[in-house]
Amino acid sequence: MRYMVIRTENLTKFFGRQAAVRNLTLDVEPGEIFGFLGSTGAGKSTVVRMLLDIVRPSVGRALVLGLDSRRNGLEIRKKVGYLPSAFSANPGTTGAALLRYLEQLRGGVDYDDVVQLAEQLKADLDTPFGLLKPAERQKIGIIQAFMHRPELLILDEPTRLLDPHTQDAFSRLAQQARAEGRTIFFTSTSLTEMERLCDRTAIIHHGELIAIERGVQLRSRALRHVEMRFAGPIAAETFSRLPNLKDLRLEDNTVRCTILGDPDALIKAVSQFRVTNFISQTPSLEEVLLQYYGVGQNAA
Amino acid sequence: MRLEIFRRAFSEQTAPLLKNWAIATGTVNLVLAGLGRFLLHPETPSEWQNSFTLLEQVTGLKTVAATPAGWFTASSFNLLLPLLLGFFSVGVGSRLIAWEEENGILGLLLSYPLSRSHILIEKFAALLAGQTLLGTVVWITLYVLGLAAGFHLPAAVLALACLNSSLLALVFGAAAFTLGVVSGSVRKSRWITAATALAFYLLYRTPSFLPQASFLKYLSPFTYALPLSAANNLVTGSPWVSLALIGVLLALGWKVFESRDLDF
Repeated sequence: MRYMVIRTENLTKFFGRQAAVRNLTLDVEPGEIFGFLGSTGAGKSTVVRMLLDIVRPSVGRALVLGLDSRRNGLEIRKKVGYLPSAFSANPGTTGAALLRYLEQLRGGVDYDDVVQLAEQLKADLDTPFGLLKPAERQKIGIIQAFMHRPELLILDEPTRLLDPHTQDAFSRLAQQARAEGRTIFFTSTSLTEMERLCDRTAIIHHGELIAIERGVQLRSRALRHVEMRFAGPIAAETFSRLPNLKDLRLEDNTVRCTILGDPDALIKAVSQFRVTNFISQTPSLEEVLLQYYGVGQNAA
Repeated sequence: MRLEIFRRAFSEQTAPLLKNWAIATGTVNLVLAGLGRFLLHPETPSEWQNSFTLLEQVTGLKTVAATPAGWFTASSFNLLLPLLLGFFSVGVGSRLIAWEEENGILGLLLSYPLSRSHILIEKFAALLAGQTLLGTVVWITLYVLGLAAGFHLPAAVLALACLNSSLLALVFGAAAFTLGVVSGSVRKSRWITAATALAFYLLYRTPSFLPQASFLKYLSPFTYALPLSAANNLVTGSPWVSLALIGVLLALGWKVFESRDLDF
């Protein structure tokens, strides 16, 4: 059997009578950035916690780094860096004190790596945790996940609270880890982020795996609501011949439509006219799931 | 492993309360020593001697001897110390695991290469250390204040009495700790422990208000730690029931902690 960094087999979790995750089977290959995309409450965090033996599967099993998550949890956790979805600490602890503590719990960490990561993320390590903004706390969480150069990083919504600049810094860290042959498994609710960062992405909805897409495929799944205003009247035929538009509406000099996938054809088509305003909005993940996978109508 | 969890649990979750409680118990002992000196003074008017009868009624003790040992047994070991030490133990025990679970810290800890048993033991050790230190503070202050008040309380006997009281308090601390482990809720663990302690205290006092059901007192750990006999010396009950209960509660907590889903 080929070695997989993560392999889940019919992984299922019930909380009471409700299934949080149902029959999840997936493989994560060594050295890839693997995304786990789903709306809030889709079951992403439950899967992550099952991988680390924090939550126990009701049915099925998970192999992490070739080891059974239930039987070899301790061995697995030595080699994994984890960022929980809500990273938290005692309010009175500074980032530096917290990282020292975690470094001692982990063992074998070079504190220079911690300092370097803090510089890369511009993290504030001197202010008590309780006084830090959520984005600053998240930076400390990212540092502790990366600090021991783990073989596998399991990150639960790592960029959710970050500003664009820090998101870029995080992307660089992730790319660097992949270049060193390490594997990253991370969850997100953002399709854009997944298509930008991930080699492959699994999409989960209401605890069930819907699809696993490569980055290129995911890009073609992009959905944008666009509103354009022109200096003068514009013919409807300009748009109606474009294959990847839907919900097209023309009112006075304004065009509203939804682009499925690449916006290139639309931009080229309107380039011959004078555009006075252009608004592009990314729809919710639920809308994308409904459009491409036919799920999400009854989303919670 | 260098006891990092123990150190942190002690410094962040035990020591702040320990400091306040050490001051509180020290102050209570100071007041009791002063009051005892006044009551036991030969020139104190005889009507004040009624205080000892009142103590018999409040504590349920058969007789409270008008001696330093009788006074401290009734006023401190059978009345105020169980309350003070118990509040400390429950206050700390309920937070050690449950507060971290409520605040999402436990999940991070569990992602580190530490077994659940390891976390449980080091966390409980922080409570044990706190309780031991507080018991020691009580012992030293009682001994020193007793000397200052002109009483001669034997240090070893006083130490045994403090140990007994600390173990009884630790029974409820262990209960709060285990309930925190089971429920993941500080509030639940505190309220359930408080209600249980009250129920056990009522069982303990059945001979006073329901003599025909006095056999029920044997269901209460108070009975074994603080027997309702004559208070004429500091020797109190047996520590074995308290120790056994602490062991059972910890085993239960360990069993649940090992098997349940955490931090969800």
